[in-house]
Amino acid sequence: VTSRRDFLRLTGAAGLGLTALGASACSDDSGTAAGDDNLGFAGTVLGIPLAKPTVAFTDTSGAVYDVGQRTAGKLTLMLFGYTSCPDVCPTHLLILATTLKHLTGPASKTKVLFVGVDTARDTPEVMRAYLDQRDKDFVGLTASPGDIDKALSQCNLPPVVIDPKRPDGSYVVEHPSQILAFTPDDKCHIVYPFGTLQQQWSKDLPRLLNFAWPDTRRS
Amino acid sequence: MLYPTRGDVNDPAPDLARRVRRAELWVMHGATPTVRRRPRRAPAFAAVCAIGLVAAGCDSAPHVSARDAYVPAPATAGTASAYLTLRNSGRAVHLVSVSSPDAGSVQIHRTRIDATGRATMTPLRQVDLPTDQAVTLGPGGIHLMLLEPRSLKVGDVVRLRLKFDGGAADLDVKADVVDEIPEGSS
Repeated sequence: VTSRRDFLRLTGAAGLGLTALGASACSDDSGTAAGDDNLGFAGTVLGIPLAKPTVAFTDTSGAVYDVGQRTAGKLTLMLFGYTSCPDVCPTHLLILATTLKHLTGPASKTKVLFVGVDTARDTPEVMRAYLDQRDKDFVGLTASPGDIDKALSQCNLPPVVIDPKRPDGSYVVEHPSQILAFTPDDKCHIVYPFGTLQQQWSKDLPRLLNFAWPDTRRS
Repeated sequence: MLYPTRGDVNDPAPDLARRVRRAELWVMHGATPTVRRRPRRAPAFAAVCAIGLVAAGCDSAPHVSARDAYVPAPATAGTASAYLTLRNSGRAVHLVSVSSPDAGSVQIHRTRIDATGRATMTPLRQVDLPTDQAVTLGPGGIHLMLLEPRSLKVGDVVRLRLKFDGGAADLDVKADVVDEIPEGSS
């Protein structure tokens, strides 16, 4: 069984753009070479797939959002960030928005869930205005800090760290930079690192819709 | 390929902007960068250079240029980031500060992504610009964080003034506000 530490190593390797970190994390930049551990995808394929988080999220309209129920059977990307983030989050969201804008067919309907982890500033109103700048169909979710960390734990992602305030009152929020891809079987088989490009998403999303995941566990 | 997620000052990871085939956007502030040296040392230094006795020891005047500057259209009013590639063809200097008439302030920041994939961000006092090297400030690495930028829309231009130590002239750069992250043409 893949331990939590192994998973963190796997996703961390992806996050850092490293191409090899032990045999279980071997990958190939070309994404198509023989022996590619990630089955030709740009993300890191997990040895054991993840289930969707079960905590009580609230969407930007203030309504309860049951991720399992609302995204059942749909290709769904989930990321955790904060609206004041100047670098990682707006880049991720811009690339996803651009990708979906250019895709045609079912993959263009991929659902994107952005969880705002900076609960003091990521109010439903702020989240809606923020996501609308990228794509009005992006779903914004919030939850209590405890529930957010619980969801992250369920997804084998590291907890949020809110850094101390600086003299000017600003503060940095440390958050996972990965994007989880839940496929139509309602499992996450693959995690994408920060740095995944539009051309990679454009190639991967249509494949993810119908991919027959091997049932051998690669731990 | 992935764009940079490791923001080492001296060796930024395989960069995104370097692969971008766009017209250069840099605008030098002033035709020729002027070199300010300590007056007492300058004549001797120049003399040594002129007669070429110790050619290897002669530093060339710092000359920093910029290209591929862009600002992704911000999603929030409070912050935005500018990215660009700097090239120094003279002796090593540091980028020490940035200002912009289009933002309340500009801070040099670096994103780091740790082994678990968690991203954090720290301010940098300076960015090393070694001799004859290009340093790319890109997503997930070093970035120029614009605080309280004016309302920015795609097609707008953000004006940046970069200041260096070591006698390098200020550099004025125009960064396009874009709605797609440049990825090259492959």
